[in-house]
Amino acid sequence: MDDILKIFFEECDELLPELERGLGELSDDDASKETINAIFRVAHSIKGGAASFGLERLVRFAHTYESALDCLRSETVVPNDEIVRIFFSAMDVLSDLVAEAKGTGDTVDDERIDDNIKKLKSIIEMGNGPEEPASSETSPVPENFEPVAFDFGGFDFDEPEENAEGGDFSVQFTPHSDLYVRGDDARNLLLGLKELVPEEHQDGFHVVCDQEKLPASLNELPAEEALLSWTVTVPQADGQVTEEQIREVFDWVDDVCDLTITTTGGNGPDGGGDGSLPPLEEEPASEEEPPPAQPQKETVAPTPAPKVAPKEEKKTAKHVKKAEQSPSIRVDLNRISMLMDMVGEMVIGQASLESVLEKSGALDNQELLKSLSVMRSLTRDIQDAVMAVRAQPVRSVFQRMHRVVREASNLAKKDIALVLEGEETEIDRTLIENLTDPLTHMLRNAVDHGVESPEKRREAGKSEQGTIWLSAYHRSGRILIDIKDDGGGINRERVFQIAVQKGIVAPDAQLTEDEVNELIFAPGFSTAEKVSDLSGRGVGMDVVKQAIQNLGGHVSIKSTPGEGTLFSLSLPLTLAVLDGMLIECRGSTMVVPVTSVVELMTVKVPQEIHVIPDGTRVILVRGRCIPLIYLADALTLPWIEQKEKSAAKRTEQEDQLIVLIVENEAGARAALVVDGIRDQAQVVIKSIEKNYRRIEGISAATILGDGSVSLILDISTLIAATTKRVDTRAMEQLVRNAA
Amino acid sequence: MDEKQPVQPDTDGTAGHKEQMIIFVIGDQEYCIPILSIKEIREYEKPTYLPHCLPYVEGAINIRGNIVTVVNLAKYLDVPAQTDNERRVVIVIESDEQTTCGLLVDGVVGITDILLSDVQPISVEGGAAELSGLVTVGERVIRILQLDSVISQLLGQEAAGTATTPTALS
Repeated sequence: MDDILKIFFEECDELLPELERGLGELSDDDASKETINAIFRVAHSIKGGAASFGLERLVRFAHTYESALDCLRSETVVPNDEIVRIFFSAMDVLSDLVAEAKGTGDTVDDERIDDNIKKLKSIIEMGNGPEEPASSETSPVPENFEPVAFDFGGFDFDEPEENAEGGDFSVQFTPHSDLYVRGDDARNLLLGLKELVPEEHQDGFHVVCDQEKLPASLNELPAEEALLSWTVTVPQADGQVTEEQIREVFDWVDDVCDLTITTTGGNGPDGGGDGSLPPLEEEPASEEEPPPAQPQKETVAPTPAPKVAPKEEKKTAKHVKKAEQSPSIRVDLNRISMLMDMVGEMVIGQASLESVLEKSGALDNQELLKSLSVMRSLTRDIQDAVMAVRAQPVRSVFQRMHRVVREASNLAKKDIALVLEGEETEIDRTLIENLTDPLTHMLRNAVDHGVESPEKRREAGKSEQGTIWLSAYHRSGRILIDIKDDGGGINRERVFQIAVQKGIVAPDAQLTEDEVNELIFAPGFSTAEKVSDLSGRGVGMDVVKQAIQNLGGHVSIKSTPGEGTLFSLSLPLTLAVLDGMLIECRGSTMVVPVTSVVELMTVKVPQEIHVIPDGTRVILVRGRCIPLIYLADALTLPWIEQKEKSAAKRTEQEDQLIVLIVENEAGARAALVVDGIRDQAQVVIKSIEKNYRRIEGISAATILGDGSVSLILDISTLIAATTKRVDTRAMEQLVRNAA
Repeated sequence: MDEKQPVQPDTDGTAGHKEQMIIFVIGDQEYCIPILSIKEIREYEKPTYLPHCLPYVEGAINIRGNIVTVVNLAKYLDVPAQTDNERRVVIVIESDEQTTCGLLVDGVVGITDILLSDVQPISVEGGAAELSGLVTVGERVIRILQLDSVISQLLGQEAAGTATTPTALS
């Protein structure tokens, strides 16, 4: 049961964004009938699933939601901004209720639910008045499952031969069993047909049920087969009803039923309505079979989804949805990781095969060379393909941001539109999971501090509605995410003042524009005068910067006063690989993440090395004092052998040291002393901690082309261990940076 | 080091159960571990040194994309290893929690069925938490290695801090 419940919640997680996207399209006025159908199905699926798990509160709300959506579907209500807004806010309640049921969210305020239900009900009333619940609820909530469903809304079965002027359509409709398996209902279709016919022509509308296939005895009734078919006479009503409209009614089910539409002259050929039993009698007959004897009755009887069926129904709805897009399957992430690992091994195996062949001189053989290169390109293709499997469009994160902006702008009493661009851009799954928090924070920040209040905007001659653009695109092997607002831009003077107040910079520091912008990333910096509900949650942009850097990315700002601010995030496509610089250190090859390398240089010994009183050696780089880290000693690398030892000693004694200037997230720098630089390469990150413990100064390991293990340095901890001693903390580095 | 303890009655009621064990040598001593815990046995290759590591950790090797730590069992058990052994092998084991590690040993002798009732437990006071018991096969005394403690020490779950303190910078 728990497993199924988990699947239900997983589905909710997929369905809710879809609902949001659909509503988004509605508000952009480019909604097609298909969109409305799609969001209707979402509400329906959630309701159905919730009902089968007895999630009362969720069912009740989803039901109202669905009913309100149905008014859109039946086009009795035309969506406008106000209505879409109601749906949006109700959708938030819906997703909160899902979270509540899942146990990941707080209990939703009853008042909020009632308020939203009231608003939704107003839409329903707008649509059809409270009088006609039967026609407004295509599928009533399971609780209401009672004979009322078989009231055919007042079909008139008398005197079918009358009123035949102008020719009628004769619709022969034979549903297959699959129609019911999908959770559809013949009754709905018949009702749909009836709705086509204008009021004054209703007299000419007849439904005749063909029950020939029904067995004589109830006991012989095959429970899961569809045996009934219908012949419906639909008057053309002076041309108001067309064949096309009729076909539309059956649009959803045309693959699971036989449908023939013929135009008849005056008298319908199948007008022998007198002979057949009116469906009103027929339907209840099959319906009123005693449930204990025929537990599966619902499949044979054209009833609305009964209590057991919603799960089924939900699946069907989903199936339909998927069929429209490209088909997909759910795969356990571990399997994909395993595949990734194996492909990595294959690449290494390929490389070693080549080197062995080369050594043995076999590569003179042209044919061998050719097939080897075929293998090589295949391997590379497979590697790309596996990476692509893990990639997902950023849409799932971006969609969530709608709500963030909506809530934030409500709180801030600003009118702000969020425009998404490039949602299709694909990015590794692991990154997607880690992007939500920083993006949420940055968008809240943009709403709170970026976009001005409506009054200010009016004064500045801008439209009162502010806009925030969130866009994603690929560039040179990285993904760039831009968050742009059309607000007032960064007030550099104020930023500087605050930074001085908080002791982040010296009052007399001369900073460039960019450097002032960078100040908002300094720890402990917050421009909001009062702590607001929105962004003032005790964390600042420094946390965002840290989070992005942990993902191997960086943030930059561009700001034009009066025109807005642009935050650019640059991220690697995946967390599984890293751009590394391969260095040599006392015989070991190690990897330094390229993102933390500032520059490479050589240092003259001993002129350029200064020893400060506590014994630490530092070098001066353009006026900045940078501590030296002797990497081999810091990592206690063993002396491999005598020759190595002398080689390493030589670096100490020789007149030059090779150093890598590296920087941590806070901007503190250190100079790593290494024996040599070998290469720059993309490496696959492998965990050490899985089979060992954490190693200080090492973040992970990787496997080099020759199959050997190489360690990836953790620059942050290396610097932290050293800079503590030299007492160059982030703050002072910034000051020095400024000076 | 591990003197024979007086024979203890088997307490866990597994008398009569057999377990297949693989026997390997370190120096001139024979040890064994359950065959089901073994994933593979491979040739020794030079591992990558792990900084600040425990003295008996040889380093890390790559086994089909997984980074696996290699433990030098001779150093771990404080037994003199064979000198000039060209045929050293790494026995790759996997714990119940899917932790993998490699044991560097001097050679594999063979497989034997061991009656659990024949196992003589060793009291911890005897100073041999690394071993879970002794068993005699014919004339030979075979020590049963306690795999759980090898792995938990590797992961730093126990006895952490004894050897993990990073050596100060020189």
